[in-house]
Amino acid sequence: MIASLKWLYPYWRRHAVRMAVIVALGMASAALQAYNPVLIKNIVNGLSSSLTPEYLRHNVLLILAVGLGMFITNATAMRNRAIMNMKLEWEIRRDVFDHVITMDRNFFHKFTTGDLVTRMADDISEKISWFACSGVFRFIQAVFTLAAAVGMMLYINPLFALCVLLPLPFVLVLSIMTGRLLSGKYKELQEAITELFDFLETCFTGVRVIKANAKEESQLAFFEAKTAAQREAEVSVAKLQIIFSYFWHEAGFVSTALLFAAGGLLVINGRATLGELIAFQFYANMVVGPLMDISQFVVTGNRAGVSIKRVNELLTARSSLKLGTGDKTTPDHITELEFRGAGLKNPKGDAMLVHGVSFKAARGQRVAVVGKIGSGKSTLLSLALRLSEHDEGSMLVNGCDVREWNLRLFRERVGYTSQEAAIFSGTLRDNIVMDRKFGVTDEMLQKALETAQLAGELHKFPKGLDTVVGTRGVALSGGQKQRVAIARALLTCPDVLLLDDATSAMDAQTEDHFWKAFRKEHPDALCLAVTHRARTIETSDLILVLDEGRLAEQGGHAELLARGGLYKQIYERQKLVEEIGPKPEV
Amino acid sequence: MDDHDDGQDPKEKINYKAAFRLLYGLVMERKTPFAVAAGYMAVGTLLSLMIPVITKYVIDTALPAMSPRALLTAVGAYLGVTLLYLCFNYLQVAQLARAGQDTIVELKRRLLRHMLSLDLDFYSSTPVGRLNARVQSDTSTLYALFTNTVITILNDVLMFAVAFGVMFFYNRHLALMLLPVFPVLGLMGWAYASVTSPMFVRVRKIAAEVPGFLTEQLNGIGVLQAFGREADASSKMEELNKRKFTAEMRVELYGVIFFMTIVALQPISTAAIFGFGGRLVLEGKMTVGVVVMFLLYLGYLFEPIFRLSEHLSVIQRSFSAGHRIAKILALRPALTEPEKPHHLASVREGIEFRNVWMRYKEDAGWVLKDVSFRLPRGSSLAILGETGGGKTTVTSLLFRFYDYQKGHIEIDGTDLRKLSLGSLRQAIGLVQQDIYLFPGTVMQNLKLMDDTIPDSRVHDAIRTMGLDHFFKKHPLDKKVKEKGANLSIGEKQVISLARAMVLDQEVLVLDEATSNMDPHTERAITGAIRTLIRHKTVIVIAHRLSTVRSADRIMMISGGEVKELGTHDELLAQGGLYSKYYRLQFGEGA
Repeated sequence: MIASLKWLYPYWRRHAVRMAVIVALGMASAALQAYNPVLIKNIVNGLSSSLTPEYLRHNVLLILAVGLGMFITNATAMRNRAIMNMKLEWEIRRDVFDHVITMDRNFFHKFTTGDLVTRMADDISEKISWFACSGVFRFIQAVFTLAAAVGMMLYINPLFALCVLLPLPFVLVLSIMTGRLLSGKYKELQEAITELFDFLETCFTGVRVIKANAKEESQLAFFEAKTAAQREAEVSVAKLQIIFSYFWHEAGFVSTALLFAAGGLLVINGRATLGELIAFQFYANMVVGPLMDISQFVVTGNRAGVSIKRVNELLTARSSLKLGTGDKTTPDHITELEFRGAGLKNPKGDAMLVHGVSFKAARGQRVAVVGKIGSGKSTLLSLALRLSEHDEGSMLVNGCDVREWNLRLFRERVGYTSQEAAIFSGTLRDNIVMDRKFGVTDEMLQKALETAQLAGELHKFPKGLDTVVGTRGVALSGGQKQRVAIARALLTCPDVLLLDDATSAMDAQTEDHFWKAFRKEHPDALCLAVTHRARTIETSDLILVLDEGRLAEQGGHAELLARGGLYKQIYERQKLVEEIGPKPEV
Repeated sequence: MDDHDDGQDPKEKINYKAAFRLLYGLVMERKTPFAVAAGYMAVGTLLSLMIPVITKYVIDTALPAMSPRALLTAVGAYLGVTLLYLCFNYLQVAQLARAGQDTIVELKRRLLRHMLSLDLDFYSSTPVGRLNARVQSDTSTLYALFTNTVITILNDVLMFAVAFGVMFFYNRHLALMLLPVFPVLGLMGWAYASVTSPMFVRVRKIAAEVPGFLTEQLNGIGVLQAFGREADASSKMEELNKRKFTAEMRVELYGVIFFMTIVALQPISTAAIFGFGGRLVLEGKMTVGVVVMFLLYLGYLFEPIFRLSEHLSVIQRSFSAGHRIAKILALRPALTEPEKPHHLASVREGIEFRNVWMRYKEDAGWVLKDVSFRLPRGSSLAILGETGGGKTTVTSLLFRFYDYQKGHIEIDGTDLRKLSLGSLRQAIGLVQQDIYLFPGTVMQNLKLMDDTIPDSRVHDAIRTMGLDHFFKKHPLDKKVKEKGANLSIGEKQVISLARAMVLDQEVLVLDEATSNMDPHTERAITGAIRTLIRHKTVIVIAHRLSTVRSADRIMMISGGEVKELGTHDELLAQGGLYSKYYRLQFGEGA
């Protein structure tokens, strides 16, 4: 809990004024609330002993004034707390997002996208946001209210105060015990629900098997048993819940009974007034709410604490990229790329994803990267782009260590497509240009479209380049996605082009056209392409064959074929696959 | 998770009549238990309404009379009444929970039974998550309606009637003065609900955009970093955050105003009661006890106002849920039993496809073109071909999941369409290796959750398949967690194969899956498949070399047509598609 509060503190500090206002309003509201019963006491006492109409009116107006005061303080406090909740949600999410997008590829290996999204969406908005302000500050206000009420009670009539406060410890203990039982029952219920959920999902996804084997009845029989289990759990929970709520909402009746009995006797003996008796009824009710808020604070605080830890894990992650040791801002073009014994460790263990890779590629060359699934091809490309810092060996660009180059400028010279072509919500134009407004002309865009073999496809889209694509737009075919990614990569005429399986959804002819156009438009570009196409591989200037992270073979097509090793196997198999046409599932 | 994919087109009109008929029917089925609960509620509410009267008695009678006995009697009455109230309230909640749960469980079973009777078309057009939502979360919404909303509304109406009745009895003027406040509050509540409900919808929509945006950006993070787009992503996130903040703040403002106004009514009404009531007391027309009693009753009556907007929202959601459920219950399967079904006891001669043409829709292309083959009893046929080429469709036709348009499918010479679906599917079995396992034990999964199958049959099956060793390592009473996440892919495949033996049908359709696994499990699977092929008439959609080699004959389907059909040696000699595939798969060693 303390850790959570410490974590939240810097965020509160940013809004010091508003937080102070909230606290002040809390104190004012507590004071007003504690004063109200005093007015009632005055009126009731006055009525029982004939007061003047003016006195009555005076107190009635005071009640109205106090009511108005409470309206203003509570409404303002509530509004401000809500604003702070939302503001903190905004700021926390912004901070986390800004940090996460600078992380290296190792980070994204460690955390799946689904996990990251849950932490940045649900954990923040559902668990942390309410607690961040309301949770804590309602607790503070509750403490004030409790203090004010108890203070007033003791001041007015200590004996009555005792009547009200005496049952409280017992109520508290009993409610904690019931609360624990209830959590246990909740867990059981949750498990029953999860089982049902799994059952239904299995049933629906396997409905073909169930119907084919005529086993519908046995499914229903099993379902009956499971729903019966959920039913039992729900009923137990409902019963326990009502008992639990009694401790909060109804336990006041013990205090009231004590008040009537002891207090009534005192009034009869003239040692207390009727007004006090009635006023203390109201105090008894006043004490319950704050106690609830206090216990809520503990519960939501624990849940928020778990989420805060999860979010903090993201914020404290560090990227392996060491930036800014050098600042070789270069007007030079990249003419040479060299790996010397480069390697990258697996972030989730000790094995190496790639190990001891050495090769040299020069401008104008087209390098094919081949190998089985998991042999390290994508990792190689991501190293070339410095998406992760290599753990061993070195990488040289134009003869200098890549770490001496300014990262941003380096990446501006490189075009990249990822293995799963990334399409973002927006227009086609947005997806290709990607907000690179400076120095991008319509001409360049047109050229990129033509080279990527996308120009001829534009008529298929209702609004051409302005068609909205992505999750809320038109769905693109696999081949179209890849071509958009290629156009994106080629747009600024990069010196280096890294293509990760960027042509697999194209047919052989389109791919052929692409490579020819590419060579014509970008004769000096250095291209590293992960590919499976036989023709693309055999026409490359250099072929790198990866096997389990190591560079098994490298060279030209003819010489590798003659060697009769891994390359020959891969190449011939690929040719066969292509020969068979629409491949049988292999 | 609050935001379920309702899967409902927001423009789709809700059929209130059908939904209401469904809901009404559900309640009427159990009118006695619900009536008993209402009874408990009425008694409890009446008891709780007695408390202000007891208070008045204390103030006006016991105290002025200075009678400790009267006072303590009143306190005793107060304690008694309260304890009784707590008991009746508890009884009411428990009763409602039971009645409500019974109703809902009944509905869930009805829904699942109906869904299982529908065609595969229904399943292919609806995502599993949505189906789940219908059976679980839509029914939960209705549960809240029955156990909470309806009874609370009845409770509130009763409370108003009795409270005002008593107040009128004691002082008509004051009661009349207070009466109009409540309809006004009711209107306010209704206005609040209708103004803010579209705003809440909008807030939920924007809130749902956040995970969508994050997923998209993080999935493409490599590309974003490669092109140096971090700053842009950051500003897009900022813009989304801002939109969410603004929308939520707007709704919240209405909320604050509405709720605080209602809260403010307490001091206002206190002031009003003391103001007017006080004057009446001074004029001797009223007693202090009555004034306090009015105050207490008013306190009771404010709670329902707070709950009003919540009730409205539950009612709205219940009608949506009821509408969706009614819609499903109204669906009818297209493929039904023939008029005079022929019962299939066993397959004696074999299965024959003759010139079968099939397409899914009138205007779609043919999925099967002139497919013909014979499967004599006891033999096996391996089907190969690319995805979407027609392999699965052939087997779907055999189970009559879909109908064919031209040609003949016959079992022992009888047209498939004349056979009863039940007997057909009991004679032919389907084994799919890519499946989830049910929550239960391995033993139960081997029986496909059919408890009428004796354990001995399972043990026999395991022995016949030579899987004793395997199941010693993976015990039969092991509990399956999370649809089989605690078992490896290989293990799941073995279980689905063993299941085929347990279910003991003569004819088997086996839909193989591809994956790499350890040689140990691979051997178990290969042996199991070989045993199945030996003991039964089998059609297998094959992916393994061993499976293909074990089959008597092989059929290659591509583009809906039978390209090659024959034994392994015949096809190899032909040097066509199959031989190429074979060489590719099994290289020089073959």
